Amino acid sequence: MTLVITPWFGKVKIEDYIGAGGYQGARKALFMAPDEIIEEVKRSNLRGRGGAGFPTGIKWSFVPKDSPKEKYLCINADEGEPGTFKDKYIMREAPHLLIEGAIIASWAVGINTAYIYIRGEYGKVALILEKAIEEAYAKGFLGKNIFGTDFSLDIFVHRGAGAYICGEETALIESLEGKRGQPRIRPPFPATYGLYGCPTVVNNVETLANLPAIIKNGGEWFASLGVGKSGGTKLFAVSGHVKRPGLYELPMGTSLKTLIYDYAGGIRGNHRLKGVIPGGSSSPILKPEEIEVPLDYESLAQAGSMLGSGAVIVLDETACMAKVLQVITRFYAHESCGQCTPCRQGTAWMARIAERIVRGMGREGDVDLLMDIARSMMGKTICPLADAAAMPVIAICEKYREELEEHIRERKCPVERE
Amino acid sequence: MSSGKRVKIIIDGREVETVAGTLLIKAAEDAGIYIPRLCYHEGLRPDGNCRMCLVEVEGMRKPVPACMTPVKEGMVVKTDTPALREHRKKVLEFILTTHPMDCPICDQAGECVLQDYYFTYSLEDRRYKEERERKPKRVYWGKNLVYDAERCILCRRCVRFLDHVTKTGELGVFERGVHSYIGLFDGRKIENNYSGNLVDLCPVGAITDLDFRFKMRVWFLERTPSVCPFCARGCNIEIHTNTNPLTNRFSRQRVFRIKPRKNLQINRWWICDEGRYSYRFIDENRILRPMIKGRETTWEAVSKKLREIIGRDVRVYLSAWMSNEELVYWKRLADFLKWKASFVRKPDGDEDALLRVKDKNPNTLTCKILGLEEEGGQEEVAVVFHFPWAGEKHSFKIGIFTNSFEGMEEWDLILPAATFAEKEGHWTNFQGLIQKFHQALQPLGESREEGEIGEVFASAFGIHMPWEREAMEREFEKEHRKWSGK
Repeated sequence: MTLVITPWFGKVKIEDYIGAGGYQGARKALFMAPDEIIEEVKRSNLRGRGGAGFPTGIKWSFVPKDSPKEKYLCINADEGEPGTFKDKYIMREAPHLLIEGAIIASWAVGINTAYIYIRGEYGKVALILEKAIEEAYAKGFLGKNIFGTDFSLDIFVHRGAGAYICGEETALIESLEGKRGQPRIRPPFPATYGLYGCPTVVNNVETLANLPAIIKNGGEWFASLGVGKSGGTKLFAVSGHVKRPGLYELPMGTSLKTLIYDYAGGIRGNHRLKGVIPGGSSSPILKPEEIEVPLDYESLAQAGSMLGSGAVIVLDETACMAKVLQVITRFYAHESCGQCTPCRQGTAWMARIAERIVRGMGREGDVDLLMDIARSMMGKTICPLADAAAMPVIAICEKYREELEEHIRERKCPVERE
Repeated sequence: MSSGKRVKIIIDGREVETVAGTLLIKAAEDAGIYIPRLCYHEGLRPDGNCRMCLVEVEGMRKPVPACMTPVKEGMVVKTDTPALREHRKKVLEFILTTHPMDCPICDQAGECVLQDYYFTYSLEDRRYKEERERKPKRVYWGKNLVYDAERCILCRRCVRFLDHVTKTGELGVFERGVHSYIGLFDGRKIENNYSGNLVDLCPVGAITDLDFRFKMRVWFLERTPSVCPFCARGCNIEIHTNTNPLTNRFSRQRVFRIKPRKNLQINRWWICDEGRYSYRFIDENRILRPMIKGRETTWEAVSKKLREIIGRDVRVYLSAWMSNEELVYWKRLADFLKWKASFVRKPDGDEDALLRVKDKNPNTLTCKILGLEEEGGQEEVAVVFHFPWAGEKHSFKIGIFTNSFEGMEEWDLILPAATFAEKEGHWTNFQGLIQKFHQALQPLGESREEGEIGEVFASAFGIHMPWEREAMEREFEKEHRKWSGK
């Protein structure tokens, strides 16, 4: 099995990274025409690894070529989706992979300044990144005349202050500008009006980390690793009730079941599987009978869920679904920026109902009310946070309705706990 | 934003022609189609946060905010589908989950957008049965502003006004989600000259006016269009009064507040705090009856007193606070009597880039158009309007004043004048625009408008010169045309 990212793990020092063939992709890229790179990336079927899965090459091609303004690259390292920890590993274990990816993306789009917006909680990781950037400058891989060409690139690390919403690209830009982190209304899109009103590309860490391999081996090679319109491999952050939680890199299209049972060691103890959240807390939960699904963007969408950030949260029979609902709704109520009425009020309302159910104070009709609130929020707000909060609620209410109703009726948790 | 190009769009099946780039919400409104909104205000940068104005545009996957969507040629828009009606109910329900149901004690009741919308678009039963969010109820923001964070619907009109109109930026949004509130930045107070506009902008009762709150229910107020006299800008205002003894039993106050009236040529949607809060002179400290040497007398006695000046050397100090009609009348009377005529006005004050101009009088330009000069003289007798200091150098002093002052006993005759709120007329603002102010109140006590007082003078001297306001108005229009060259 060909892996793209994890083989680089552990090569933190620039010497080790170069020794293993690092920076060859960037070197090659700088002697290619920018358009050639964009075409190569389009061919690779690389899709945004932050969660939305937008084709990266197409995103780049939206940036106007003739703009007289400065262009920026914002590297989204604000990994905040509950269950997700893939970007932290990349930055901690192979920071140069990200830097190399950033050089390639910047050259392709015509960017000379990149910002790594890293979540505030990743303090130590930020230090590792800063060290790596320093090393890259010392080698002449960053700064002026990279690899002796005319191309220059500066990278800055910017630490966030702990808001999930700042992982949304326009909120990230606002935050980077020193403003309150809240999403902007689109259009205009960042590609034309982003950071400081200039054309901006916002790419996820994992997305960029794939670029060196794409340049070295070609877009078609990368596409062939995956399946359909989802090229390459994907990092899966498995957590929850499995024997071996952790980070796994698998080709797109591998089944969820394979990931859980063959890689993560199956369900802990002698418990039975109850459900899997396949792509971070905002992706709709899948029941045990649905886990044959291949892990790629199209298949999961077809299954009514989403690949998201690839954070797989496994729940066994000991998990109380009311409690799951409470944890998820509380998170989104806490993280809603408060700008749009439906999201601000709806997330808080759902959280209060879920909390009440857990406390044994549920009322008849609560499940329907939850679903109605969630549906009223969807598609009505500036950014997708409302949808992210609503989707898991609807899925849990639909798929575990009986358990929730029992919890409400009996005024206590129906799940026997050890 | 607008290129001036005309485009045609379809709104609710109707063809609407407008300028390219106009915001959908405005284009619809101009065509008579009202799209409900909470955060949108014509005078502020749109923000799209309340989600009330979502409409369906053909070809768009999701409903879009009409306040953030510029029109494009051929756009097909629906503003009133079942889905949108349902959505509006939901937005209102969402807001009402945390908004307190204290309309009976809320000053905004009766002119509250949220209240009106609930009746227009919702009327649904309450489904929110959780605890309410607790937030500060009385935060003093400076001057007359009190903020109630629980009533606040976070539309941010106030923040945007201070950011983009006054550019003073005192307010921000703090905290997140349902805990969000509007707050002052550290060490700041709202002390700019336009703070009162925040009360008008707030669509609910979150920002109330210390000057007004708890004094009067808004549905008891009569609203009279008028013009602000406090500077030469001539901002368009409404005077809100209540003189009904059944609903205003315990106060002597007749004017309860001044509100701006939209006029895009002059004040747009705003007025300054001086104009808003300086109305008390209309009800307080007024001269109610004629006075001879500080002692009250009757209008009958006035004529006799006036005859004492026949044949003497007289200067009349007209004022930049008189209406066009009154100035024309008095100028004519003075010319007929061969009196010297000049005018007096309040001294210049501060100005700013928004509305306030240096000249703190409503009608200086008319005085100038009529050829009056700001000058004094050594004449024996002075007839002084509004500004007592003008009479200082004269030995026989007749004053026509609205409010009492120190030293009234030195005046041979004082006649009580009606304030601008108690009469109608026109003023010419600094741009040369003639504007009408309407009568909101009856003159207090025995005070009379200056035109009528002129008639008292004329008849005392045996001159037939009736006070005919409309004739004077036409007369002034002639003078104005001559002046403007049109």
